[in-house]
Amino acid sequence: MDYLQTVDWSRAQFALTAVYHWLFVPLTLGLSVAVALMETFYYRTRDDSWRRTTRFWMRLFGINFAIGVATGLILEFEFGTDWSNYSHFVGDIFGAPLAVEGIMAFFLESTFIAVMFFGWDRVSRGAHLAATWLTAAGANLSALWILVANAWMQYPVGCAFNLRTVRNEMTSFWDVALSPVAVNKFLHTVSSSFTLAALFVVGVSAWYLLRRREERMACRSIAVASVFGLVSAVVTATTGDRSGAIVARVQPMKLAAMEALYEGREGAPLTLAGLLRPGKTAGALAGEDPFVFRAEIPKLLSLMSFRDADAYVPGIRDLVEGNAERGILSAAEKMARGRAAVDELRRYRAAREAGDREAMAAVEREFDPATPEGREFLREKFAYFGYGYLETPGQTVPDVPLLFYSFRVMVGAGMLFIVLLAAVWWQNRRGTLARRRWLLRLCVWMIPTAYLASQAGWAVAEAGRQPWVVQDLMPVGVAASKIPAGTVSATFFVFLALFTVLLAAELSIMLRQIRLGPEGPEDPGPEKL
Amino acid sequence: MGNVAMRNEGWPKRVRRGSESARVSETARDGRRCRALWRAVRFYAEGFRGMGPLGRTLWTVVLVKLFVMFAVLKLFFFPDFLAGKDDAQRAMHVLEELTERRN
Repeated sequence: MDYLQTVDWSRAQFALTAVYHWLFVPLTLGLSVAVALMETFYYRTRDDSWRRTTRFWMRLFGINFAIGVATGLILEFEFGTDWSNYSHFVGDIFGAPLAVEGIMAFFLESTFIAVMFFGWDRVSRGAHLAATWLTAAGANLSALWILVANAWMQYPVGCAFNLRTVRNEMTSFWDVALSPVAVNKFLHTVSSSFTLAALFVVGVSAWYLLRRREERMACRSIAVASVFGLVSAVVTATTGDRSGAIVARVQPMKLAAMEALYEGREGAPLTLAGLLRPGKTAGALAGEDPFVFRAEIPKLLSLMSFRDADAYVPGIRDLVEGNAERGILSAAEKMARGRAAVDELRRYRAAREAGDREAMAAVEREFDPATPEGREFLREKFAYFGYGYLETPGQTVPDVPLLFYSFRVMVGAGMLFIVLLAAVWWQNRRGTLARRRWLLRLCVWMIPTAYLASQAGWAVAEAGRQPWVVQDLMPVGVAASKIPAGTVSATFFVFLALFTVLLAAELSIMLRQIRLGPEGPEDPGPEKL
Repeated sequence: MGNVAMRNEGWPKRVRRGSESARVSETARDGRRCRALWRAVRFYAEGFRGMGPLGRTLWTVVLVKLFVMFAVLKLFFFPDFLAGKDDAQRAMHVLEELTERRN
């Protein structure tokens, strides 16, 4: 069996599922809040046009929710089948947040979403508004737990390896749930989802204005969504900045790859934009300039990473070859330490199979954090466990061009969204937006741009973690199950077909409902807001 | 006096007011729970009955999707790789994997 093919197909399948799943999720997270905001206006003003507006966006929310719901469960199926080593190795930590996510998503959202859709004329306005807000809270809280799980993969804390069960076990729930990576990842992901949803509302509303339809509804929707989106986009940028500072400390290779920074520097510049020489990683590691051209801001990377304009930012070469002056271990040294840890595991296995309890106890003492030798072994050797499976130091370097360009797509789009939403808010407030047709067309194009930026962000997060499935502890190649590649490739194409059908269904139903517009007669308008 | 039943009617000699009222309260609570449950069921039933074509389409999509996921994909394509193994067997299996693999 060609195991490498199995790993590659498993990765492709997981990536495909995750990409499709993430097409539905951010709109659910953000539109639920946007709808709750609009219904709050209805509740306070008792103006039926706000009710009409709310019900329209709620309908689009329902379409996205219905088609996207449970697509994430397929990822959990894949954990059990394609990634069984990983599932066992981290199941004690990963399983709890996923279980809470499933429970919260299912019970909280499902309960209140029914009141939201069925209860318009059956419950009081206050009760209905509460149900809408609780649906939004449920959706976002369920996202919290999957993001906590993903954050742990980037920065494994709050756990200890149990040699007897061969798994990492949670030692502190709060260390896992409140790690700086988890908290910032949640805020960044959720705020970016809010931004996407706001741009969706603005874009669809702009489409109505271009067609001179539903102008009152569109202007009101833009009034809410532009502020919601602007605040969210600023929070996204702020938490994104914080992400960079965190990544600089816990995943320095990811940061170096994002910047295509091969040579570490004091006062490292931030590259705003640039073109990389194709296929030149080996040359760049040997000292060649990896860029055809670049535009950079001096010292900004150091400032953003370490809040010190003259701080040393390690480059890819530092992290591969080591830098004794800066206290950076080489990849080869980490691999040697990791191999020592894997060798101890082999010794344990041999002793267990031979029934040699004394030899087993000797290895168990090394893995025991309660003993001095155990603490030293875990700190000096087991912390690099995953490196023990690598064959060359170059394997520690993720895909630099993918990260470099994805990061710039994400950040560039994010900056554009802030400017655009501010402009839209201002023009709408002055009552001149409907005349700015170029701006309206731009708003429509921001819908796919928001999705592209959102996916680019996940590409940075996940591709930047490579070769690790759990940073430093388990590489992707060891995490996959030993199953025939044909099985995985077959399901890859099944998913491709299934998700494409779902996506086509969503687009078709959504576009039809947008063309139909809100129910009932059109509100007279436009109005100056 | 009110706690003592009339002997010549064949009732028990003494009825505790506390226990009778406790039974009445419990019955009332049960009644309220049943009514609340029934109201919830009616709420959902009326909601589903009142759904328009869009709602029905979306529910069809949801049900077909869940059927494909659980009755087809999970059953035939995604068995739990470590299913059927107890904790010790799972540990041994992963131990073998971790000590034989290269990345």
